[in-house]
Amino acid sequence: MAVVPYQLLAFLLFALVTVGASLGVVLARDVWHSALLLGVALLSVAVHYVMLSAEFLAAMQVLVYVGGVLILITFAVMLVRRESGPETEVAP
Amino acid sequence: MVLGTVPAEYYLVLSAAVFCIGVFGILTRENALMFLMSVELMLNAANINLVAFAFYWGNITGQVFTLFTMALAAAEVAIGIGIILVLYRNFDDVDVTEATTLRW
Repeated sequence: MAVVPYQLLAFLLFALVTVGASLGVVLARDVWHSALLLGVALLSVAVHYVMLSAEFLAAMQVLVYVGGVLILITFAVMLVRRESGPETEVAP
Repeated sequence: MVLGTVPAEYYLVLSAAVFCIGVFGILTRENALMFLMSVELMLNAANINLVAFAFYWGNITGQVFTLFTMALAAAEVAIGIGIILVLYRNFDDVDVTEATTLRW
């Protein structure tokens, strides 16, 4: 009976999620989309922490990053963002 | 041990990939918010490295350092948000190439 490497499969899946979401962060046109994809990347890093048996750090990752840092970034995006696209500039 | 089926090098490759993506984001975008998010990505890559080494060497020091890094990242984002809001108020944009007051 062949042994299925579940650990390896889970790692590869979540590594794909991490790298994909990180690429989305730097490649997305809209800053708000970048912020949402940053949340996905941070949560998948928390999953990696769980697989490395660092459960407390995973909890801290979710609390500090997703609960604090991402909320702050969202706050800044809401205050700072202007509608993307050069033709949607509003005349003063 | 079942957990040992993922080699340590895989985590190092993942960490290097995320770090390189963060560097790419800093070098290519002009939005100050994108700078902040790319720095978060790079800090997370370093954290993955620290936790992976802490696991494979059976040493808790890496996890403690990761806690310090998380506190540092939170403080850095708080300061960065303040700077970005002041940038927006003064230049009406968060494009870092617009802010040239300190250059001559």
